[in-house]
Amino acid sequence: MDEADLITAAQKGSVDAFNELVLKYQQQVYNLAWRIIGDPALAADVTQEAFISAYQHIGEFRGGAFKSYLLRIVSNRCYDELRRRRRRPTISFEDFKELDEEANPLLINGDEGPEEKAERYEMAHLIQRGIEELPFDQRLVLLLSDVEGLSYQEIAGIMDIPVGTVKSRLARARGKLRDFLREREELLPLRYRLD
Amino acid sequence: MLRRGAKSERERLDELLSAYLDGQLSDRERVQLEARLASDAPLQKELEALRRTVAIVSELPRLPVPRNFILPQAMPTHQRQKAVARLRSVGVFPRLTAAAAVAGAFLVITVTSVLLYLGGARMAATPPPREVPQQLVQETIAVELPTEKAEVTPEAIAPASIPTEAPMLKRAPRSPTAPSLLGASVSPTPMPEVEERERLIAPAPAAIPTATALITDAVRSHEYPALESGEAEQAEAPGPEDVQTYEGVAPVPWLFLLGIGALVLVLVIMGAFRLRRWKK
Repeated sequence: MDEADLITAAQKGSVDAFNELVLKYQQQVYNLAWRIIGDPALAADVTQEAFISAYQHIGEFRGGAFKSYLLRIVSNRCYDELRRRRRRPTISFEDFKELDEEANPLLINGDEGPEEKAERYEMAHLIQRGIEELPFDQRLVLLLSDVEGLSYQEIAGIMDIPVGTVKSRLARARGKLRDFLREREELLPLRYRLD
Repeated sequence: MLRRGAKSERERLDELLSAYLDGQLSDRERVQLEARLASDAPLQKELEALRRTVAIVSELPRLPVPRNFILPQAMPTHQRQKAVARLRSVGVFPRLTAAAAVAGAFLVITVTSVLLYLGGARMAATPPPREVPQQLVQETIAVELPTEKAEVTPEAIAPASIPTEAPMLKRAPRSPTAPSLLGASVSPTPMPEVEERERLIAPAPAAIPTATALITDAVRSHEYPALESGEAEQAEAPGPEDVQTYEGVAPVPWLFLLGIGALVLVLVIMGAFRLRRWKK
């Protein structure tokens, strides 16, 4: 069955068909949640909730890219989660640094030496901090564009905003992240330095 | 003001550079920007910094999923969700809320009414004058038969002295010594009073109009002056007409039916609310 058939079957109540869609998109959905929230366990919870919500509202899906439909739901869930965390703070990213390698997805990579691993970890850590300092709207636009590789039109559909707004928000997000990295250039490996 | 203008200019340039990197500029905008970049080294530097930033973010590793996020087979079907959504769209749940409030109030009122009605009826049906005859007996013994108090007890009165028109008031002597008192200490004159006492002593069920009528007559016959006033009025047992009224105090089926109906309605509405919560 192709994606359209799976969606039709899921709309008729087939959990199996929907689960095939889950397996296809779960990594993208989880990655977006993880990058927005910055906490692997919370991201997993949000991802699961997003898939449940997607299934429960699949009757409202009126065609288009199913990936955009899922990313829209998970981004809304992330927004709710961030608002909830603002009211009730939990562990910070600094605490996350202390977690062991198995629990830290940034450190999982098979074929690299200790030096490259440490370098990549520092880099990923720094970028994640920079992303988390962005306002939610700019963070989401940046991740959808530069991590997920979506077009302006797709992002506008997911966030329900005009394309011009996507353009300006993305420019602001990139500019802020550039400035953030510039201010911490001594922490970046040479090959990643901006100037 | 100058700072704000400068910032706006920088933001505008960032927007141009960002869109240029994504190929989102119109041909005219792209040509103008490229012409400017050719002669503006700082702008070229900004463009390169922005390009590297985008590249760094794009190179972030894909994170592996910690587990599969497949749904269990027991997930509620979309059709059920749709049905609930349809109910919500037509405003069923707010109406159910109002109906639940009305039904709950009606249930409370009905149950309270039934309880009050039955409780009041029972209190009214209970023969209040039951204590009064005993009081009358005590007073009668104290006032009318001061000398016979030690000798004549109600049990000692001969059954033959009880009038035949009230046979149900007859009493068999309970004490084996009672026969020895017969005729010896009871004079002929107090016999009517003894009769009256016996009538008063005898248990008078409220459901028997004749007994209550007798008591009423006794009180009204001025045999007991102490009870001629309002006290005697209070001592009146319910008359036959009152007893007929109490016979109508049976459980009221329609009230119970209404109460049960309201209870069922409340349960149905609670079920609907549960459905609504499940939707959420």
